[in-house]
Amino acid sequence: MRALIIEDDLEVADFVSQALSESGFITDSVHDGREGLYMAANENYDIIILDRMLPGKDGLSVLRTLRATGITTPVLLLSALGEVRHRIDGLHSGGDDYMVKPFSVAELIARVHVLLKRTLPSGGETELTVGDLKIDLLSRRATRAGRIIDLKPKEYKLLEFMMRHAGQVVTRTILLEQVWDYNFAPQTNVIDVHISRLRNKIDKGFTIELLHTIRGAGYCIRED
Amino acid sequence: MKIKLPHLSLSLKFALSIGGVFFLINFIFEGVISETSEHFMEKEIDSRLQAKINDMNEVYELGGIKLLQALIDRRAKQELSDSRIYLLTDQTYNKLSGNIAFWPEKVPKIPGFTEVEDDHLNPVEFRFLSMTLGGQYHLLLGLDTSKEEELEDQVFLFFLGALLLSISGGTIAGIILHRGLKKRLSLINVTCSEIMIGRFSKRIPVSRTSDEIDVMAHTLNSMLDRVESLMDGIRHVTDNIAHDLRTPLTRLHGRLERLVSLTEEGKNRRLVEAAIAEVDQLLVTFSALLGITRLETGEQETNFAPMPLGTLIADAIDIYEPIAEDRGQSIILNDHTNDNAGYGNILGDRDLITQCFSNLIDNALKYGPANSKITIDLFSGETDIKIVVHDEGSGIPEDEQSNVLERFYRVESSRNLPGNGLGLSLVAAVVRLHNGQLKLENKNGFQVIISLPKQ
Repeated sequence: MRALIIEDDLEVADFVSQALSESGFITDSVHDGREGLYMAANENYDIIILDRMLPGKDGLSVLRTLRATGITTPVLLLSALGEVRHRIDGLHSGGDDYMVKPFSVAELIARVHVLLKRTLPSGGETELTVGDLKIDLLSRRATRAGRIIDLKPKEYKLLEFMMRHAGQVVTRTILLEQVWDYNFAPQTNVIDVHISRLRNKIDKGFTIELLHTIRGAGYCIRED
Repeated sequence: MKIKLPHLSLSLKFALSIGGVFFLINFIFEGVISETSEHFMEKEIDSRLQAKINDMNEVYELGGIKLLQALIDRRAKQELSDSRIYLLTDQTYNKLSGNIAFWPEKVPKIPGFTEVEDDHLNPVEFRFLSMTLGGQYHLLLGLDTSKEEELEDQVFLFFLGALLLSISGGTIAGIILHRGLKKRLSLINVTCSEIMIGRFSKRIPVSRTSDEIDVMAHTLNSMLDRVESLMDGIRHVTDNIAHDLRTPLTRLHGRLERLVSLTEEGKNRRLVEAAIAEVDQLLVTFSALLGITRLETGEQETNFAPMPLGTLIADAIDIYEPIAEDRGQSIILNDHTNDNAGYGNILGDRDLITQCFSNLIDNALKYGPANSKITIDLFSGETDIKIVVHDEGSGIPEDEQSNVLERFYRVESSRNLPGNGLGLSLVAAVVRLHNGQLKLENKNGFQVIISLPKQ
């Protein structure tokens, strides 16, 4: 997997690059918009991390030019501008996700994985499986080792999202956005409570835990 | 008991008072004129009668009764109309000469002036003067005063017309005058409303007349210039804070995360993780603060769209349900807005409204005791939707209620609970942005009452 980082702050570019390398990416870093555009157009990347405010050519125009030339590589925008309208502008210009500085690197990595998964063609599957946990996408029913798990609608939505990204770390923010459509963080950490409920329903009474808490990052559903 | 006056618009009051003043002046004027003219005409008639009767008395004294009789006969013949009456009688009021046959019933048989009003059959009015000549004859002179009465009536009608004309003229003039005034005042109002929702660049139009309103508009505009420059200052500062702090904080966060991955499990690692959590909390507070500032300075551009408030609140409850359950609390939503016809809809920014109610539910759960109820009621008024979020907590002392809307203010008794003192400030800012009202009340616990304009 290859990632392009277009970020003028060298230190930020550096730790993003390091974190991506650690999670298995080969990375290239450039520090202005023109260079970024050149690299993006001439190389094949799986993901582009793009700072919104760049010297030379501003991030949004880089993005628009990319999209106009038919390059569909997923783009994650980074910005010091966190207002709703900036987010909307960014997404309208062809961005796939938007992160406000300061961001956590763990969050960035999690989001990159979610983005990559999203861009994979869906195989028309009717069932998701992690170990002996199964959900039937048509009847919206979950079972573990053949036993039906009784889930509320939001719990089902949460589980489905986690299972679609099985093996990936998903952060609280991602869950808030994807499952509850919340674009802000509630004062109390509500996600942890929802996760612990879900964990009670799917893991209680089984020797193998499927739903893991990844400290400092988020959660992951996997069989190991 | 106080009598409630009906509400009158300023222009109507203005027009009515002008009409009223016109009416009063005319009324007094007419009264004076008609009184004076009536008096004047009466005197005029009386003096004419008196002069004539004196002449005749002189004729009688000089030439005796025969000469007077001859004179009266001649006068009576000369008189073509019957507008004058002459009658000379003997001591027992039998006619000697004149143009009427007998002494009129209505005229008393004593010397002096008499007014005879018209009877219904004969619409004439006469003023009579009688005199006794030498103790043995009676002389009666009469003048038709109908013409004078008619004139008086005409004067009266004329003034009545003038009165009506002036009242309606005055009222119309008042309305027109005030329409103009009202138009200019409403321009000021519209501008102020726009400024209140954050369009600080709006100014009140100034006309070329430099009258009092223009002077006021000018002063208001200067004030607005000042407000705008202050707001610009705040915006500038917040923008700078945003840009200048975000990048170093990102680096700090990145370095700490790096440090975590380089540190062995153990005490050191936990310290770094705690540091990261601190930075995260700092960021949340910082973003919330910037968000509120942007809302209050009207900088935040919003996506206003129609939305069903009940559904939005139900979603917010949904996310808090497990927390409530853990504490034995229950959240009850009573939506009385009768949704079927879009009654519960408001025009608002989805994210902000959700955040607003999420903060209120968060607070209610936090400050309500364990095993208590949190009730959210929605009522649909004529123009507003009222939302009451009630908890069974100990409430906020009344003297502190206005303070809790301030940034970072925390009630003394709640300082040990988690929170940054920005929750209610954000609620207040969001409500203001939506042109709504916010009220706090201690009532069997604590309640927040919000009204938001309907879509």
